[in-house]
Amino acid sequence: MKKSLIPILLIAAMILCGVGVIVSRGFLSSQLKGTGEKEQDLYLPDPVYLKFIAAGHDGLVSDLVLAKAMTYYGSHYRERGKFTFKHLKKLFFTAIEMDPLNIDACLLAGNILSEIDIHGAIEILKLGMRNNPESWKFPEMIGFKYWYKLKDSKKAARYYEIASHLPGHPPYIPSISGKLYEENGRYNEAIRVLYNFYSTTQDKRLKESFKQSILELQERINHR
Amino acid sequence: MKKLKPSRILVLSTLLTRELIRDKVFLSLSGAAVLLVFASLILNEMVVGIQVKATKDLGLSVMNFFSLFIPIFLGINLVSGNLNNKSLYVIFAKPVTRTQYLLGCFFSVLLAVACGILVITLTIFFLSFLQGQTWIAGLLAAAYLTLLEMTLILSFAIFFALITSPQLAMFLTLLTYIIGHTLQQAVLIVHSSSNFVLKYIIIICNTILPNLEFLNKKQEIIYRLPISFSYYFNATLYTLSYSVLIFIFCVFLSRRKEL
Repeated sequence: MKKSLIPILLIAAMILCGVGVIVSRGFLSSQLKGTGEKEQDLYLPDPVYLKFIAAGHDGLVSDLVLAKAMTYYGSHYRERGKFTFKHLKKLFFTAIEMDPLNIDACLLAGNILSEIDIHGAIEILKLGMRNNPESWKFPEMIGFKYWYKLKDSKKAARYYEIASHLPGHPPYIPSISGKLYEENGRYNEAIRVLYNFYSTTQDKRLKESFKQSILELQERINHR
Repeated sequence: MKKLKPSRILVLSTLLTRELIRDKVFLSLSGAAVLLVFASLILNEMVVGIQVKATKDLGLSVMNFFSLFIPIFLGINLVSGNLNNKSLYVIFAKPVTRTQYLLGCFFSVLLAVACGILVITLTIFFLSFLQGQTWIAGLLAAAYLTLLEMTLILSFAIFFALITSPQLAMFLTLLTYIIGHTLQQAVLIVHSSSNFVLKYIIIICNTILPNLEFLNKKQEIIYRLPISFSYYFNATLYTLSYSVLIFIFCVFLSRRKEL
């Protein structure tokens, strides 16, 4: 073979390989898209065993599982009606069990999951509440889910009441709790929740507002 | 103790550290570790939680893994390599005892580990700073606990390097690391098990082998949970006692070893 032909042949081979890469890439990515529409099986060990495997790197494993959950949800977001998201609950549960102090992740999981599986969402939020008993956000969100999604104002009132006893809760929580008890005709419970906030708050306007509500409820009890 | 002569150990460990840090393995490991910490920028986009959580999680894990590889790859190679390529004859021709040589090796690798930890610490600090958070106290606490953990691992690495081949020593050191981090969880798993033999084996292992979870406070540090001063003191005491114990075994082994 002539030496002058070698560079030309090499360039031709390079062009051929380049075409091969482009064609196969297009083919492979179309195949990947095809499989993405179906629910694939997911192998994820139980958090107890995953903690064992993580060998002290629980936080990082939790981040990776959470990232997987987010991409799993995000990549099928447009197919929400058709797609079952059957692995989402397990992914979120695992991420939260691996890093129980990640309050934001737990709240987000509860919020996302409530669109797909409301009972699963409440379960996750209850897990967050067990792991972070000082955070008012979990009982507040559980209460909201019972009230807004499941129309169960009795349970909602109970969770709002729990939230109203926790430090740092915003002023609207005891008020909602009181209103929900009132809706169910449980005026005494409503007064108890409102009085608890009335006696602990320092804000004069709030004190006045809660005092007014308590007096109204008292009047209703008297008219019974 | 007069025989130990700290000045000789210092000279030896300084020379060996320089050799270790110039090693291509150390440099490539450092480069890979820094790149991995930078990868947390991508992970941060997908993770929910406290500010720069992924950088902290990934950074501390990389710090741990990277500093683990230094005793495993460089420490064992240093001890076994010098034993196998007979360069020990040259060293022992000088007024250096076997104990001094082992101490020199130990401190040189520990210094290399400290340099590696410093590189990762600075990278994490820089990345957190770029993302709007100055994270110093927690980062330093994590770096200190990692250094303690690696002190323990290093003593095991030297021990295994003296009794077996380099490859097996690497494997056994890695196994010690894994067992050290998983034993506590294993105890929890077998707690309710009806298999008494397995239960007692795990409990005995948990008593004898080092529990590296004592030195793993990543979650507490990341979430800024309080860790008492006495905890750091006890962790230091635990590490030093265990490392000295293993090192004494190493001294006995090296004295009996025929070169």
